Amino acid sequence: MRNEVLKIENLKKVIGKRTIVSDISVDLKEGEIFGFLGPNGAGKSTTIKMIVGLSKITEGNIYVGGCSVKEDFKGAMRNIGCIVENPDMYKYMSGLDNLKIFAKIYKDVDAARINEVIKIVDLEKAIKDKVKTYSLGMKQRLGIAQALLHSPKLLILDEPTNGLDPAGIKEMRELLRKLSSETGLTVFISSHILGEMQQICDRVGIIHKGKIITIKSVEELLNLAQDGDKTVLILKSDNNEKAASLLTNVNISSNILADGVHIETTKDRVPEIVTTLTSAGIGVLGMDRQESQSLEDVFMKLTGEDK
Amino acid sequence: MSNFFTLVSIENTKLWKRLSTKVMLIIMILIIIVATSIYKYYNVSHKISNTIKISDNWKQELQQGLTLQKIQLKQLENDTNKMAKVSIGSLEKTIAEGEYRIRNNIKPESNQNVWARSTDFATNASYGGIIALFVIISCSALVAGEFSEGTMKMMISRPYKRSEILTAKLVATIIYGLVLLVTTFLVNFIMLGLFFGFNGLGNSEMLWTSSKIVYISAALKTIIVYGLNFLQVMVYVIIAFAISAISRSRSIATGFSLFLLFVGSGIILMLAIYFSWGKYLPLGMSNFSSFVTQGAYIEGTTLAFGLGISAIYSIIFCFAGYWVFAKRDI
Repeated sequence: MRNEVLKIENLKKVIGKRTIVSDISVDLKEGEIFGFLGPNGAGKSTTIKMIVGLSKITEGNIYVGGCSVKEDFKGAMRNIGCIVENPDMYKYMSGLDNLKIFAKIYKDVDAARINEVIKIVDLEKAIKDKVKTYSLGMKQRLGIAQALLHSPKLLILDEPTNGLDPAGIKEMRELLRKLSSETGLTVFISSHILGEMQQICDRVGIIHKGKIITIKSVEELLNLAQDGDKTVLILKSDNNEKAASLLTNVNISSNILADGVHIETTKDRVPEIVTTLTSAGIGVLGMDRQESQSLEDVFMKLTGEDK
Repeated sequence: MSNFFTLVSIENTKLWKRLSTKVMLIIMILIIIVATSIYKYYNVSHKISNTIKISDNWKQELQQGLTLQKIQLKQLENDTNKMAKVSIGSLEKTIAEGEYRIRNNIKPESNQNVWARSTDFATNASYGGIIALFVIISCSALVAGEFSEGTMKMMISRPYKRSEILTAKLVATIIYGLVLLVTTFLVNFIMLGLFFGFNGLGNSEMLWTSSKIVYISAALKTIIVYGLNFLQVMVYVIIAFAISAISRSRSIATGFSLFLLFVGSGIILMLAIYFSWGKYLPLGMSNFSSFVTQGAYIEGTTLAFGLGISAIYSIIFCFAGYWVFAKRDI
């Protein structure tokens, strides 16, 4: 049984008369990467701000490494490293000076640890430059560096891939994977870009209009996306027109598109299709399942919103 | 407690890493060097003597002046023009000083000692206002600036109470104010000493306490006057601090505090002159050093009254700042 690093219990936030989030309950185990998904304004940032003490908790409680944010704020904060909203650092100082400042806060962070962290985020070259000269990607990495300084149990990243290019996103994904597998770091990432989460996270929680709709592993969610037995195949052949008309004859609907013939069918009819085509002498060059079951579809399905 | 000092040292680092902090200190030094040099140049070019002649029968002359001033004081006390009554405090001080001189046979100095010279010059050049300006700027940067730069959330999500973070910022600002004050004193003292001589280092001076004269060393009087000036700076710093914590806007905090410093305090002082309740308003009574260097402007007020009223308002402002800062969602 692994330890519970983050436990959110029936969290509720009310500002004025408006309920921003309610009934948020999440448990995160050690070493887990958790994706917190939702459209803009769903309450992701509000929830994160309550975890790190920027926002007051209206109802419910949050425990980080066993310490309650409400009752033992200092204890809870010792277990957290975070970037909330943007990785805002002191722009008039160098990256190293920024890290030195944050290192002072914690007793056991020495110069060696600072260097170690700089190495982890691969910022050795620019660390002595002023932060105002950094690119957004570098700022993100510096932000992660300061969050890792005190070897927290829980790393909270709010929209960490915002403004990163594809290479930067891939780098970050690899870094987070490495950290969680090597050091048992638990990561809580929020994002509105579903595709990214699919590749980083073990589990995903979907929040919509202030409420958590579902918390499932990525696999479970993807299965949810499959509409019963239905599947879409993309056929590449030497004679697409003939293939399409053959399929229409056996009552299978198909569409000729740029990348091939899209065949909508059920799994049990796939062998039948193959026989029909090959016996008619069509050279099948390839047949793939369309990767349509992304989180995007699940999300749309769950929130009942059309694209 | 050691944690708290770490926090203060962090805030201190942040403050001094800002270019403006160093620039302001350099500007302060330059202003003093230029001001004292101009003063020296003026004295030399107009052949103003460093010393004044004190006649042998200074007592009689002083006595005659005192008699006149006492008549003047009587007239003022019965005067209905409130504006005229402003000089009552200053007259009372002059009379008390004169009488003290005659009673204790203290001959006026023919050559002003370096302590008195530097204190007078610092007061006339209103270094206090410049220090207040600089400290307000850095205080707003340290408190409100962190909101606008977005770094405040980096500080809040740490194992510290919000009140500790805010207090550390206030302490760092106060330390910066003290650095400015001590630098100002040293540069001013050295410059004037070099230009006019370090005479009378061990002399004593009369200090007016709003009710009587105490005879103390000139060095101590200098420290008291500088200290009172610093307390006045603190009043404005606390206002800037509270507005920073409440408004989160650096420009509002800086602008509003400077307005109060340069304009608002004058308006409130006018109110205090014309209305008896005016003296209970904030800021009107916060020119503390003037109570000992010039006497009270407002009839019936003393240094202790000024300090008391200002302390009460400062505590209220501080409390408001802390309360909002601790409650708010960032």
